[in-house]
Amino acid sequence: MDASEIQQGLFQVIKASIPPNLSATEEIAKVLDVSVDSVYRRMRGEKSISLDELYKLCSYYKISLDQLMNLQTGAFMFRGNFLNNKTFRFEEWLKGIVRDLSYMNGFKDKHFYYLCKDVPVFNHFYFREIAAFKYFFWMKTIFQFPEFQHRRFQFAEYSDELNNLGEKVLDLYNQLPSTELWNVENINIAIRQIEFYRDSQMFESDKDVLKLYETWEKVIDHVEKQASAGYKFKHDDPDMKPIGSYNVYFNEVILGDNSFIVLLEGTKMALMCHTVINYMQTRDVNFCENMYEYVQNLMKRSTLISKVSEKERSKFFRILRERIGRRKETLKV
Amino acid sequence: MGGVSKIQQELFSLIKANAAPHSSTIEEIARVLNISTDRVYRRVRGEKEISLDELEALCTHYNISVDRLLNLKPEGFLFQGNFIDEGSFNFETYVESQVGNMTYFNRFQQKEFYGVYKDLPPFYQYQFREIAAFKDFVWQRNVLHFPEFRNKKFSFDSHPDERFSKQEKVLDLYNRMNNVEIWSLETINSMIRQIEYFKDSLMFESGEDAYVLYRAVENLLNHIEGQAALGYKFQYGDPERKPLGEYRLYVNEMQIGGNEYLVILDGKKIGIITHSAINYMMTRDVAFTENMYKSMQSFIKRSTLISGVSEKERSRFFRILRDKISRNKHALT
Repeated sequence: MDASEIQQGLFQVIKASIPPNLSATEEIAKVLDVSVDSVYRRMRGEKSISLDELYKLCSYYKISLDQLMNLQTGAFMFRGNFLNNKTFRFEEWLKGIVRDLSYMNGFKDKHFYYLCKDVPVFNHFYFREIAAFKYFFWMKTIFQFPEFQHRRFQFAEYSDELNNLGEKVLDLYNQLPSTELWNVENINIAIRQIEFYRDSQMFESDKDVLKLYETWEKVIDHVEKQASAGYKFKHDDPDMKPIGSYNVYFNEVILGDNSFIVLLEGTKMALMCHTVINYMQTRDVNFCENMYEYVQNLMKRSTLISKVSEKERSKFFRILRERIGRRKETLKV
Repeated sequence: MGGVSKIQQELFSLIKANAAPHSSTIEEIARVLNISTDRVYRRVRGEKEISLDELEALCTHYNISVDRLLNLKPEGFLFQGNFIDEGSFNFETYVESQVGNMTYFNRFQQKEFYGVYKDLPPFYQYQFREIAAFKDFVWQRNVLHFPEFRNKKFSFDSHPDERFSKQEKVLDLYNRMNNVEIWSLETINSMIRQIEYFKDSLMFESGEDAYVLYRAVENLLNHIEGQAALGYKFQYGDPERKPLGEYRLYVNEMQIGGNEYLVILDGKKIGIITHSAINYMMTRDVAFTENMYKSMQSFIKRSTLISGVSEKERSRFFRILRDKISRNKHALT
């Protein structure tokens, strides 16, 4: 990267952080205490910015120059937020995902790789029942939001607003060509969370439990159909109109960690999941290249079960369905 | 940090401080920037400002962080880490870095190591040479795809003595800290699946190898259960069971961990995230580590303590894990 590239890269990062209703040039002019014309000259690369200006811009917009210059300092900068009941509630978390997926969809060439520890988070938004349950479980049991403390689970309490946002997330994900690496363990936590609530008498009745298991079966059926077709489509579309392309691999050796790597017109972005459902992302070149190579290696040791390998695909999804089936048999309905 | 000259002065002082003794720093800078020594002197004296590309060239060459130089506080969390490869950070260096980190942690008076595991805690793989040899082979062949392992079958004899003594050191240092481990019923599954994968792919040199490994894992589980019963770590085979660090073992039914660790050293926290199966990265970012600590505490609240107390639950948990091993072991004959 030469000076003009660094300068251009810097202005691109700044522009992306300024809300669209404000003029980026005017904002930058204020920070540098120069005229708008002078800012334009710097943006076009006709004038080099000084170290002093570099410092002013980077400190004001909180930009890492190490990352911008791709310096090998042995460190990687990640960005992210933490779900909490004050400043970053579930609604904000969903909106954040909508923003990120919309951004990714803005690129012409894009591909999303998902290393599953659980069923991919996006699949929770196919059906309102599962979205409602996961939301309640995360808020009450994982994040322990005080207002959920004495509440039992009810499907009806899940708001339309959250449901719409969830559907938006799913819609945006489905537009992205993607590759998912699954393992037979991926369904376990979904089942165990339902069983935990059943044991803790958090459901009104076993009917609710049955409804959840039947909905999970519908999700598994739909994922299998998409895998068979090799593309994603809406679960209620009888014409199965293709959206994004879809590759599914079955890996026996490694259980994923719910991390993603996204390819956007040649550049890479890695997203790491931590503390259950929080995400942080980096564009650090070394980190992303290492992760990409890791994913490619895992794929080489995995069985492709989308489009091809009907026998292995049926076997894989049958194992998941059997696990749900065994739990359904224990219900008193 | 204020004016240009100050940033520039600071940069050249850092370069001088890092320069090898008896070498001419000025000449070296001249070579890096491809300019005359006279021009370097003008920059060092602050008569001429360095450009953005000169800043990048110098920081890259001398491995200097521009963020630290400018005292920038970019938005995000700074992680440090390395990636295993066949070059400068090979398997030996990786284990050495584990020894280095564990030694550092043990220097503190208060040292608590929390871990939420999706797989068997990696330090336990170093308890028995058979397991250490197998896991190292799996990483190098199936995850990292090192070419020299491509057509190699697994043999216990291939594990170098020198590496194993370092791995024993890592385990010993880990055991000297106070450990809190959160396991799930899935924690043992990857190990079993990897043994089965090697067996099915005829990658063991001898038909006995899978049996030897299952026996070693059983011994390991027995030892961990013994430690959990007493609530402290002790060396394997020590008839007196002399206490090392305190040991708290929890079982969580609702969530599989992400192989995430939190180390508390005299009140200061370090967060460690595992990525691409075996690599790890650390941060001291206060917001990140505090969120991680909160998440760990929440995990603990929803988990069953099976060390020191709860004999019934402990026996049940380890019986389930042992049953999984037994089933696979008996299927070998």
